[in-house]
Amino acid sequence: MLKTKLNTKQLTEKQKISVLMILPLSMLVLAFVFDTPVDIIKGLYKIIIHPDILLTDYIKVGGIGAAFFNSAILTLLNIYILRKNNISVNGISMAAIFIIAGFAFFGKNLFNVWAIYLGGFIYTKYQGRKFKNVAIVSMFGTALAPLVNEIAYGTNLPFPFNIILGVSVGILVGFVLPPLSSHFLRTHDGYSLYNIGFTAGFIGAIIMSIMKSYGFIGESTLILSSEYDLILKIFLTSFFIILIVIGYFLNNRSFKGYSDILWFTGRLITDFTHLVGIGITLINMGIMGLIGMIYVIISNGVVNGPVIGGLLTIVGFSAFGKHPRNCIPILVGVYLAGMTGIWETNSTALIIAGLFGTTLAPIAGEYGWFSGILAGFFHLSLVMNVGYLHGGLNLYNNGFSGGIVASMLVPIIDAFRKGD
Amino acid sequence: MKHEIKRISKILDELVTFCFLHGTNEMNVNIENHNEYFKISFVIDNIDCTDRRVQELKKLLNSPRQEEIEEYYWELAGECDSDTEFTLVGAMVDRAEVEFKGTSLYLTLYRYR
Repeated sequence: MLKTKLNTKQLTEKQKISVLMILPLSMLVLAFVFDTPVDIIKGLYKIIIHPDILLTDYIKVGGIGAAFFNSAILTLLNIYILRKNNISVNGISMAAIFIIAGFAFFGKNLFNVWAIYLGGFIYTKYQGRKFKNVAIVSMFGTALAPLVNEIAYGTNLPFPFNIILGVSVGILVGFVLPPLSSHFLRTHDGYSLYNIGFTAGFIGAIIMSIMKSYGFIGESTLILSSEYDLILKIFLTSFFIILIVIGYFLNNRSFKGYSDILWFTGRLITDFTHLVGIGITLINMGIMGLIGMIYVIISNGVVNGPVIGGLLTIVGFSAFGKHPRNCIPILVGVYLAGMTGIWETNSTALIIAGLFGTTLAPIAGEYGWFSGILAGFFHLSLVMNVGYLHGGLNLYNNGFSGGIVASMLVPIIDAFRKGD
Repeated sequence: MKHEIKRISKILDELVTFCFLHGTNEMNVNIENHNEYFKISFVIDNIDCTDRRVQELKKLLNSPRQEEIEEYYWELAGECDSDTEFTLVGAMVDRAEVEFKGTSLYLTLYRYR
């Protein structure tokens, strides 16, 4: 194993950035293939002024060109933030970039994310530290970006107070996220990968409760597209295969050493770029993307904005803990729960519950496939109900649910274990 | 840095857990608090050198200090009694000297302020 790792080609930071830029640049090109520049600008405006609570598919709201453009530019800007702050391209930063690329199809846009970053920036200035320290937390923290839109455009406040209040609340959230996210890790001990989702769920619940106390009616939405299913399936599958091919070449034209990755539990923090090398990591990301796509196809699902988010999040976190052995049991658990429950197995909410439910992969990795299936099973019921608490303000609804499941399930599984 | 002392305690917690999980019966720890850095020295007996994680110790601890990872994840160190967080410890220290002598392990970590 060590020999394999030594033979693996090492990439410079610039080369790793180039690999990260494949997705946004191809989306940028596709945006202009599908739509005219005028339509993209009009679509982007619609995306920016639309309340973004779950589930709001930007492909439906602004058109496919604008959705691709929004995701591409937002991803490129975040890659620039990585470079500007000298943050190395490792498992966590790759996960952050892919989660932004994915959620830029249903909730994160070129307007609503910046208040969160500004809050993080003010926090570092207040503490006398560098923004670099919290940049990753702020990237993940854009889970609460819809809050800015909801207050700015979803309330009846007069202009410009609506914008000022929305941005101010976003800044406040960005400020408190770094200490809170670190604190909440201890609740589930790193057994849920989307920790910010867990944290943001609580913040969202508090803010939504306050808003409701003053007469705001929070209603979840369900705006979904279905017309670009085949094109998106082809595009994403091609991208996953490209990742595997790049990884194959970086790994000395072989898949040798891939089985090593399956040995890790995936519990936070498991940075595959560091543990097994960038080549194997990219192969794993591509394979996990394909597994996610197969799950969507088996579930007879349609690829739309939220499903793209789910797939890209799986791919990103496959550099940071996820692999087939710890994710498949979760997918099976969610699918079984879907078959036996009251939900339609091909509904988008159920499909993304499976894709995002892999936040619980470390439970399967640490405690085995049965525990993983159990975790997936519980996750579905919970995720279908916790959205009410934060009223769809927290984009990582599955991260919120996953955190609760892990916090409850891990000590229980542990109680049934004998000995150390 | 905020919670500096607590972070040092967390690194120690992780190392002690790791050593006991890998066969150690006795360990001697020395911690030095200098103006510019913390130095943590371990002498650990009877460690299972055939274990894969023990073999990877040097590489994991010698990874570059990564403040962005530390800032977010430092509270996880030492929190699990079955899994170990050496990637995290590696991100929290600037330099590590790891030396095996038979079944004994000599470990020195430096963390600059």
